[in-house]
Amino acid sequence: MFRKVWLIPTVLALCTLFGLFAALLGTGVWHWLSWIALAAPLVAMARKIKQQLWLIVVMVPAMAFAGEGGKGSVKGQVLTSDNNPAADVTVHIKGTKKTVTTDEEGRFEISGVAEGSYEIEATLVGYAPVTTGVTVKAGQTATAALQLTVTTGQLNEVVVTAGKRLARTQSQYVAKMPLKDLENPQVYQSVPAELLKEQVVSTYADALKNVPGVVMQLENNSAGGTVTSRGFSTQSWLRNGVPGLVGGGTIDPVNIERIEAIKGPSGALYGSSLISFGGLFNRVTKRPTENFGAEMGYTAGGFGLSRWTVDLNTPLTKDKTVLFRLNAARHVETSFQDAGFKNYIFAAPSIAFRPDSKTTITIEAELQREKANSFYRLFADGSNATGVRSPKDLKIDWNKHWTADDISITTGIANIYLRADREISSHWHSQTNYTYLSNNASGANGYNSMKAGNDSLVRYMTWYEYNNNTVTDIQQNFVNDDRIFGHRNRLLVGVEFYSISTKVSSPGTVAFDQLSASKPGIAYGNLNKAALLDRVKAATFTKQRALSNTYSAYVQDVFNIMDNLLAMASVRVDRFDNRGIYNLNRDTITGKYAQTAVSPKFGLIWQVVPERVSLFGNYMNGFSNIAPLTQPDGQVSSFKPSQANQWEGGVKISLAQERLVGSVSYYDIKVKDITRADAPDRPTYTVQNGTQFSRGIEASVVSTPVQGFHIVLGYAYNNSKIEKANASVDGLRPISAGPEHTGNWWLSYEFLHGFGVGFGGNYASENKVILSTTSKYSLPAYTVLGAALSYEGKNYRLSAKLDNLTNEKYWVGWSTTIPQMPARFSANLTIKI
Amino acid sequence: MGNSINIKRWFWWHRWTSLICTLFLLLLCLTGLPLIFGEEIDDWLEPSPPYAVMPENSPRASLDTMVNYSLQKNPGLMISSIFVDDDEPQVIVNLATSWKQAMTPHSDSTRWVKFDARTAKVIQESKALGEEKMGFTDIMLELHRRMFMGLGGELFLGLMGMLFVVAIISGFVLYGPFMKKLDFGTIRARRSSRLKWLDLHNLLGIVTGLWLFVVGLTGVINEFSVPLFGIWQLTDVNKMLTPYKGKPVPQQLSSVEAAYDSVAAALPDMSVTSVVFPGAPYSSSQHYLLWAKGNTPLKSRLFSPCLVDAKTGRLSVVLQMPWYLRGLEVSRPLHFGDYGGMPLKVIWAILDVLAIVVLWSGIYLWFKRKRTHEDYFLKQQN
Repeated sequence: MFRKVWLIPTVLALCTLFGLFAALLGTGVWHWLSWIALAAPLVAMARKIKQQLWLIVVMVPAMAFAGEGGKGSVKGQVLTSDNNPAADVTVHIKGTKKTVTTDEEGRFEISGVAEGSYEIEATLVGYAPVTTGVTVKAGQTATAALQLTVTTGQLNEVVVTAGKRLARTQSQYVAKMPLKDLENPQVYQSVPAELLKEQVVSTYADALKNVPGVVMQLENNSAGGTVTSRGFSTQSWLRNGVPGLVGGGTIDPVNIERIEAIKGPSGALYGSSLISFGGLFNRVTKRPTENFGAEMGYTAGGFGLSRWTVDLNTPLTKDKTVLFRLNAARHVETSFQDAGFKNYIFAAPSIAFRPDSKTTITIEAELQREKANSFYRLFADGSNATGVRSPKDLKIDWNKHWTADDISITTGIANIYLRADREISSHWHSQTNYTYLSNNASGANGYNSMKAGNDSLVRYMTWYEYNNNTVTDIQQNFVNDDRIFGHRNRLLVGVEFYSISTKVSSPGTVAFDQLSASKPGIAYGNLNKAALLDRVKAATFTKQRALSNTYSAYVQDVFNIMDNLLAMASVRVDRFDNRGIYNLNRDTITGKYAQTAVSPKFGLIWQVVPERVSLFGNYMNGFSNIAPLTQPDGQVSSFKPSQANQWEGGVKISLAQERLVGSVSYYDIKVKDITRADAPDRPTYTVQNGTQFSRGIEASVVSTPVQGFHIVLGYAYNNSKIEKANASVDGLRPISAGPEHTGNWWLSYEFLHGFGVGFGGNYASENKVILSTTSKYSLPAYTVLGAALSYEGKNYRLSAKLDNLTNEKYWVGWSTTIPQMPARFSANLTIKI
Repeated sequence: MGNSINIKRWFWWHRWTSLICTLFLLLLCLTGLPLIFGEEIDDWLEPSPPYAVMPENSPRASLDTMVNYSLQKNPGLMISSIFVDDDEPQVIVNLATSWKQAMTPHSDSTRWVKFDARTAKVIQESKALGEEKMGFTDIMLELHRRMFMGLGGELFLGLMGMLFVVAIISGFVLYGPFMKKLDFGTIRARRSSRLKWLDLHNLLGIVTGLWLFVVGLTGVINEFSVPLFGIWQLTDVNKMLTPYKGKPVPQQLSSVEAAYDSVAAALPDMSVTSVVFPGAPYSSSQHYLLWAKGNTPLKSRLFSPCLVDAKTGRLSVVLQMPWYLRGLEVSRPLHFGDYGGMPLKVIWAILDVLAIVVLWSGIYLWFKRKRTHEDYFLKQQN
């Protein structure tokens, strides 16, 4: 009896007693014995109370055990890839405050490190950090060897896979001043070059597929493509924060450091010419660096892909005040259809000159010569009567291009970008930009249109004798970073002059022929260059010149109300002066008008957890100029610019040293003052009272949960509706809004020895590209997958990629139907010096 | 039945000792919980700047440099003591306007300067006189130790602790008869709420009992540390200091660094962790008082006071502490739970929370006592 009652309590008491004194006797194993002896009675007790409770009792101290132990130290050496000591490298133990710098031998020593496993990180200015793991034991010295993946003479961009992050957490362009993502109450997503390299991306359009909510609407034909963003058609107009459109040519991704997709109507900083209400895209290009380095790559793949790339960087002077970099590409590609090709050479030289420590002058150019037949647009008849509701219902061979390859457009691009940065004082920075863009094109493009009933197809062609445009942009920005009443305040003051002129000579669009879509027969071959020229030779070439100037001034202020609460306010005044279209044939000028617009922006962002989590909200405005027009009664109506106003709120995070970066937001864009026909009362008259809304959710995550493993995820939902419009579309989703749901994802893993694998894809829900009360036609939902494999050697990189690996048949478009590429394999070899 | 009368007697003790001390014990458990992690909380609330990274075993800079700096920086103040950390490379110099202030807990007339031990560079300084506020852990400690009532509070809580110890012992005794017909850990959850809590009280009590006993007893010893030191000072220390009585503190003090070195040389197996300046109450006006401790885990709990002549810098005497003070020294860690790393602290915290449950369930059982416990004795007698 006595034994039954007291046996267990006595054992537990002895256990406790031993535990209490064990830790007094010594450290190390004595501590462990003490913890176990003291925890044992608790575990016994917890099991009696609730079967699973003991797990919690064990888990809590176990978590503390994990971080426990005495102190040890770490010493080691940092070497470059060619085995030379790397001096002055900062070595840091992640998760601690301990930081040292290597000596001339590349050696370092850090003492007083608590027992445990750590990541040691070596960083050298201009290079990505390199990490290695060490396990520190109490009273012992662990050794760590770190080898930088670069020689002292190599480029910034060259290699360094360890410690790589795909997240970019600040930008100097998005807000026209250097601002961290967590300080910017606006949403933007960055697509870095590292990601493009992993995906073996060879076109700008493929690069954009990494932006949440972005879906191609029209590939090629203009600046890399027209895409949908937040329910509006958007093009890529900006380069390093200044205009950078390239006419009808393709933007090559070879010199792209990252793409910034700035979401929402950004009229306050960028005016009307370069934005859509849904956002804008800014491509940030590679800059010259102080080291010599070179990379040469070749990519070959299906559908005639053959692509050479070069990246050469070198200082031009010994003191490294003049730096030079050249990125170039030679790109040849045919198409999966029976015609269609791209063939171009692109070169982007860049010189950076630092006359003194406070001034940097950058001279950059983009030169391109392209010959291409890369247009394809099919307008289906989606009217209710035909019964055709999607491309799957059409009887047409999607492998037919309906043109011949002797019909092409030749494009020349010569763009110059000058930029001067100067630190005027410790608080004031000046940035002057002069941009001159010159693009010319000649040749033909066209589209196919289904006659009612979708039985016969009309081939429309437009011949351009020339279609040239030039842009001059001058921008002066002053940025101040100072304190007001003890609070940090950043101010931007800027003025801009933007002028675009176009010269076109064309006989207009001709209907070349009409033939059966299902059985075109021998007539299919009738369209060729000779026949087209024969058709247009008798036509009158209308020669036109157009010019418009925009004068703008803008101010933006970012004020720290508290250390972690920032307010942003911006406003732009924009004078748009359209000098009209001069018709050389008739010697007339038409369409002259001028308009003034004011565009505000407000934002608040609160870092709930400093440097980690921000809550933000913004009110943003964008505007679009509308030309006056003559009403049927002869009266001229002038209009206001149409305005889009966005309210948005959300959360941004940057956790675990940028290993987990992301944002979620809800936006509500309301467009007002849209012009429309005054149906049903006076359908021939135009009034300005239409509205439209676009609401949605966007989420993006970029994460490196463990070293070498990267995750990129994006999701977007958009609900758009036209209101106060003509009865046929009133209350319906605009056809330019794209799919309601879109998703993008990419997972990649780099093994220790330079091997990498990647897998990802895009999803888009049904895309209603023809929609009215009398018609309904949509592109089916699709999921397109891709995979990549790579090996990074010391001086080379080998990679292979499979696009659209399930061979998904899918289409994109915007009132149009454009079939997309089937599965394609491509491989790349890059040699690095 | 004699056994039954015995049990009744134990029960009486258990009930009344517990009831008297429970509320104070709840206060002690609640304030003790944050104190277990006091160091971590202080680091978190008022993080101190990181130490410079230097090679291991970098030599310590001279204490004299730090003393001179502190005096120059704080004219009108005297140095009361210096703390030389053996865990982190820091030296803290404590200053005060007078010895009276220096001995007053949380006096607003004291200051401190924290140096990097290896470079003698200032890492951190206390706020100006009168501006240093009590931190969170200071308040908790004050409540835990003496409820802001000075020595009286200490003695009172010591008394409560003694009652608690009696309650624990009587609780042990009662465990036997209560569990006579039950297996270890039986919880009769389905019968009544009171029975369930009685069983929980028994189970939690018997599992945490020894720990509660040790922590309770060492807590009592700590509460009586002032009178215990007083006894020593009135006897041994007083005898030794008699020749120096009434002499003023020397105008020119010898080097602190030299005093430190002379003790370090005489006691190679120990390390000096603090230096009390001459003139402290119950200390010598002619000597630095240096506290040295052993270097092994057990001996590091035992301090040896050393007197160094403040004129010549020579070691005068290494004092032997009496047994009761040695007991006090060794009992301290057993109360604080700070001697086995973070896991031990976590275990301490879990036990502390369980103790709260035991106390609370005890009160609950008393409120619900009436019938059931009389039933129990009726049953026993039948």
